[in-house]
Amino acid sequence: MSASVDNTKSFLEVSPGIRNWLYTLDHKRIGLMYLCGILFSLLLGGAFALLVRTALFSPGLTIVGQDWYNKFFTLHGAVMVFLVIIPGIPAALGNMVLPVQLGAPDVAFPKLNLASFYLWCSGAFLLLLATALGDVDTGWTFYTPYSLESQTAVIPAVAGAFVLGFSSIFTGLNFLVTIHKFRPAHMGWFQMPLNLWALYATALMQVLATPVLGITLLLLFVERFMQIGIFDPTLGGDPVLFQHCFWFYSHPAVYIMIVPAMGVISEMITTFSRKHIFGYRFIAYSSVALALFSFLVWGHHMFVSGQSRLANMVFSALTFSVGIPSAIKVFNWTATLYKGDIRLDTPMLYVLSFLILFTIGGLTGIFLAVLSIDVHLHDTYFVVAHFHYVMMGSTLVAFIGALHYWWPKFTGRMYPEALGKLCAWGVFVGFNLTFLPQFVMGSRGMPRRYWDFDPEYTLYHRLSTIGAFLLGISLFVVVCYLAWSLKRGKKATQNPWGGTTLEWVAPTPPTTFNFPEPPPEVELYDYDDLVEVPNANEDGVTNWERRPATGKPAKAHH
Amino acid sequence: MKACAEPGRRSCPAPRPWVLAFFAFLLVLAIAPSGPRLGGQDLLGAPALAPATAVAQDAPPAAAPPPAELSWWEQKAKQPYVHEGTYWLPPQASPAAKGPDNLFIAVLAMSAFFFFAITAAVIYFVIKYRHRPGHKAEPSPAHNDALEITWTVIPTIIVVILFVYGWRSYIDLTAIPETRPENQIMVTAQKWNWSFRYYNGVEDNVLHVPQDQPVKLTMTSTDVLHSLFIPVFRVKQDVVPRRFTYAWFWATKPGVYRLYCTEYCGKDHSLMKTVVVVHSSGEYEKFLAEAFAKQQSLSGPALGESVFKKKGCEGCHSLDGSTRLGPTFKGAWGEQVKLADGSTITVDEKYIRDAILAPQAQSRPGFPPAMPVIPLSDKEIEGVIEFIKAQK
Amino acid sequence: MSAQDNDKGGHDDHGHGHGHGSPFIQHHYDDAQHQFDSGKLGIWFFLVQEVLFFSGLFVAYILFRHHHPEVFAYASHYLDVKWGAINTAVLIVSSLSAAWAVRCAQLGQRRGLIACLVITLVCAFGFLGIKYIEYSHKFHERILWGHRFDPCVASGGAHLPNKSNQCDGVKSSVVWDFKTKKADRGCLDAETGYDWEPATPGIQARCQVAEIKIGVQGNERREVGRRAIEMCEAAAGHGQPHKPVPCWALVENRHVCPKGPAAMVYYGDKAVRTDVEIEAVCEAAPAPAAPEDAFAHAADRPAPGQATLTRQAPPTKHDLQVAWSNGPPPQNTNMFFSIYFAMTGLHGLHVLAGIFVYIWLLVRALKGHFTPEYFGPVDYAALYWHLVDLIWIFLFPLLYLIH
Repeated sequence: MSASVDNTKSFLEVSPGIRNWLYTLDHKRIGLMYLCGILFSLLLGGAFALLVRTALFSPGLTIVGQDWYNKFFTLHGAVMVFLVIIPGIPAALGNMVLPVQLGAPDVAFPKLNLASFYLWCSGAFLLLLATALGDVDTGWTFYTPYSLESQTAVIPAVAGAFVLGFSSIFTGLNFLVTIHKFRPAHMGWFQMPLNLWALYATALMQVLATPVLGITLLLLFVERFMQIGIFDPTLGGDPVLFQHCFWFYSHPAVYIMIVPAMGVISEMITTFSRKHIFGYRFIAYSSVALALFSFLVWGHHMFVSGQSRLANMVFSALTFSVGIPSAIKVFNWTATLYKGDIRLDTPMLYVLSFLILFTIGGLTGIFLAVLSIDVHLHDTYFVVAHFHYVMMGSTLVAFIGALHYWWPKFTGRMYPEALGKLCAWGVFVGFNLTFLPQFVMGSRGMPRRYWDFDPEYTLYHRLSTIGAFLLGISLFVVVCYLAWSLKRGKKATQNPWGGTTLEWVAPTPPTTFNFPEPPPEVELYDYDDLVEVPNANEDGVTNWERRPATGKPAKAHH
Repeated sequence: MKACAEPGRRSCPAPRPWVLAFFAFLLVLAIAPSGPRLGGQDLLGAPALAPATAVAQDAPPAAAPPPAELSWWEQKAKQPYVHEGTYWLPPQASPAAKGPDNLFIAVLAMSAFFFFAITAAVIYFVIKYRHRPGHKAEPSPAHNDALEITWTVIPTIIVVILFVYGWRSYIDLTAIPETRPENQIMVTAQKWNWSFRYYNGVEDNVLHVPQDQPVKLTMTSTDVLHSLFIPVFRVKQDVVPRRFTYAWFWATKPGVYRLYCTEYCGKDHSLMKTVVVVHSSGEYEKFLAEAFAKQQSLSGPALGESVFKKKGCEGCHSLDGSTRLGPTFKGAWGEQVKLADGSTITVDEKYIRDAILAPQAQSRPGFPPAMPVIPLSDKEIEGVIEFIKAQK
Repeated sequence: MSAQDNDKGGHDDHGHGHGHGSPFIQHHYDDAQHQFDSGKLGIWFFLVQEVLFFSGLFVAYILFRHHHPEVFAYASHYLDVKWGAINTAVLIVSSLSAAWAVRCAQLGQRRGLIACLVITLVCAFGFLGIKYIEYSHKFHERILWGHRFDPCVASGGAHLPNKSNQCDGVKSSVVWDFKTKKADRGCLDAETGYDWEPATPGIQARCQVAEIKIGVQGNERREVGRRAIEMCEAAAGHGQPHKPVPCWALVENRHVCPKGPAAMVYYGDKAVRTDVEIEAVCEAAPAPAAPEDAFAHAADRPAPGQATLTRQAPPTKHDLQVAWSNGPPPQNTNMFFSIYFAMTGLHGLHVLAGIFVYIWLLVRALKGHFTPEYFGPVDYAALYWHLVDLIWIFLFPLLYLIH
């Protein structure tokens, strides 16, 4: 960022060349680089998922033996959790969108932001190295003592997850400071777009929870290197302590995944309904409530681990409390649709998918929060289906939807709409086909992480495998057409969806410091004076413009 | 089609027919080939307990040694296990299962209600308020505190009720009543085998329990975490190395049921499953007495075979020549093998004895040092030696 | 660390017209105050993150101390309070000079700033130097974590009478009677091989052992015995002049236990033999050098061949105190050192990182980068340094001052 930076040109065109990208401090470029990495990881993790599902097409030996199956599901989990879903919305989309929605020129610490990105790359490299060195078979949870004695490449995998944790911490720290210190004078806390509330809550969790994972993985790492003994029962250590420390992070991690998804859903649902979001404050508060509650419920992963019944009671009660803010949000989103003018563009299809899938994911969480039911369902396919509904059906679907939503703004190109809708349907149908049968298998008692299964589950497994392929193909096509549209897509307009937040006031794509002029004060979620202008550019793409009569005079941003 | 591709336009027509056709095809694919019907365990021409590999490879039904004079309780354990229950849940075979089951159904009904209500509202709104020429968003309040407080309070009340019932039925599942010593069973989990030791020293890989009496399991693991799961009793408890954990149940119906390991424990986690045999009253005591007598009477290769099975040797050592974690026993006797230190040694009595007593002292290249120390008596070691001799 | 390195490290010379006075005010900030405030908030979040990073270890500490209070009470005597106290003082001084450095930077006193930074650095190096002395002593004595903990070394720090492998110590919770050549008391589960009551102490041998014979019953005894002893010698010979080693110290770790008439021996974590008998051949112990020998306080040294610890008279409180602090280490003492090395090691790494930060600050101070308008990095580094100091102030009593 030097003085000669041209703040009138699009950030994509200023200072081209690979070096300028690799050393860039521009949050949008960093976000785009994250996006490339994350989409690549998504395909990789998806490939592992398909291998797992293929292996489960029939009982017994299908394509691979047990050891390879174990490696596949471990890598699927590790790649998807650490490389895709956790950084997906905050690091990639959040990086691009957050400063623009604030009307700020950049995040607070651009160099730290770049450092986070390279930490992410190093972590990803270590995980891939673990794959290359003969894989990991501990499950993504690295439970001790198995992870201490596994003969596989646990050390690079753990090191990778550790480094990725720090990438996440620094991103969160950056966002927190940016939101605190870069809000324009006219934007109070309750004038912030809901996406920023969600990113704030996420960043808080990243900063507060991830260090505990850091120290846990560090101890595991040292344990493998020099047998320090903290988690090793043969030396007097405590393997269950590992689970406590691990879930103290990894439960908030679930909210690190889902809360930003709720944020982008809130943005999209109001834009495509052309209605003010219903119950702004309740949604904002519930994001923060989720962030706080998420720290108090880790023990519900350990109801049968042998922890005391008193602890189980407390954790069960606290777990139920998480359901309430989630329910509030679903009700509020549904109410936002009321009396709207709903447009079913691709992002909105993902939003509606999200609503349905998240409802299922949330409701099945209630089953697991009930202590006695959880004893039966713990570590079965029911749990697998439940968390896929939340982590994939909700988070990933929201991520893909938001990607479509902001794609025109940050790449300057439209994606092919018809194909987009088709794939949105494919994702929805494929997803449900994959995971609905797993609920039934789970409640009937099929344990998870099983390479082999009893023959009575064959039908369910086959449906699930077929659904997984449909899902995989749909997502693959999404990635392909997005890549295609970078060069061939129609040129995007400034505000193709009619959004009211500040990024839609910025040029498309934004300039280096996002706004050539200080951005005006906008009325959040006020759609009354936005007018649709069809065929606004040479490619015939719609634009939405503020009606001059009621347009508010531009104010300085500080 | 062109209009469709534009953003900001109204939605496109419903999915094309060929998409539906594709699904229909996939469904057919799922059900058609060698299609096992739902709920039958003999569909693939193999008994439910046969190793799954044999099922998948369509191998000729187990070239394993002929089942030499199985005792009645062993034959009983080979019977097909019971797994028909309701659509959602496995059968109930314990009174404590009622609590969680009723809650499950209650939560299911509640979930179905909320799910259909929300989905219906979404679909109704999407159809009613969809964008079409001339349609505009109508003004409506952006918040309504009374409504929002209502839908905060209602779920709160529901979850409080669920919590209370969940807690109470959890106590039923986990509060262990007094049990007579015969019904106290030691469970040792090791990779990848369950071993159940009864009060008179009888040891078996199958869990035998009496009907209509409380049974208490005292569990520990010799290596990593495992978890004991018996779906029909709704019992699950992790098994932790160097600690004891407990589980109990009250079996109501005689029969054979599944028992799984549900905590991932490495390579053959998915094969670490066995069955629970619930004996009708009186039969359990008969089992204990006869199994004890049989265990005492065994010697030589028969004792060796029993040890081989009950101590989980089969997990790593095959009898058919295939290599698992450890060397196969087939043709092992008299073989010249190389040791890690480069020397060569003959597989004889002394070698086998040493390999059991001090597994790491004579480790062989190509095999991980995974063999645990399994305390065996001299008689048992002799039995194992005879047994290996017999594997030609 | 990265927070500081990255947030304020800007060397962007630019003429952006926000009226920035210092050339180090980055361009996307409104003014110097905005940049300072952002950085300050950033470093506070970073410190919160650091506290949580350490919290995992504190939880482990609490848990293990709760489970094994006797281990912690005993093992803290291995640590030298003197060095710990000196280090505490050193860190407090460095914290003071770090704070003073901020003051100097705010007032634009360049020489004062440089002096304060140098004092901080010297203290930081001093801290690590002392830590090195402590660590190297422990490495030398094999007072380490896990299997590297040598239970032959009793606590008592510098006054330890016997160096490795020549001491009394709990090898297992099994009491061995050399007359009958059998373990007469013990608690190893014959079926599982587990020591279920590790808290029950027992003495394996209270003499200097010249040789241990391990044999399977019957005619194989000699052969197996020799092999076991060879293994011991081979292990002992590693890195040391080869000499006959009292072997029972090397048939180390853990379990010598009865299984009917026989016993089970573990060598390290590997089982050597099961179904064996053990015989220890004792030699007369060298006359203990009275002033050095801490065991002399605990109990009289037994005659050669005597196997169990016997107490002549009921111990007084003082006796118990002495015996408690200097007797053989209880089971799981290694866990204390796992925690000790994890905590102090991680803290040491933070000190090391602080040294790099302060060197960087010193270089910039020498170049005259810091002005009353731009002194953020000095302030942030000082906050970080205070946290490192504070963590040590918790570690010192938690590890060194347990009584």
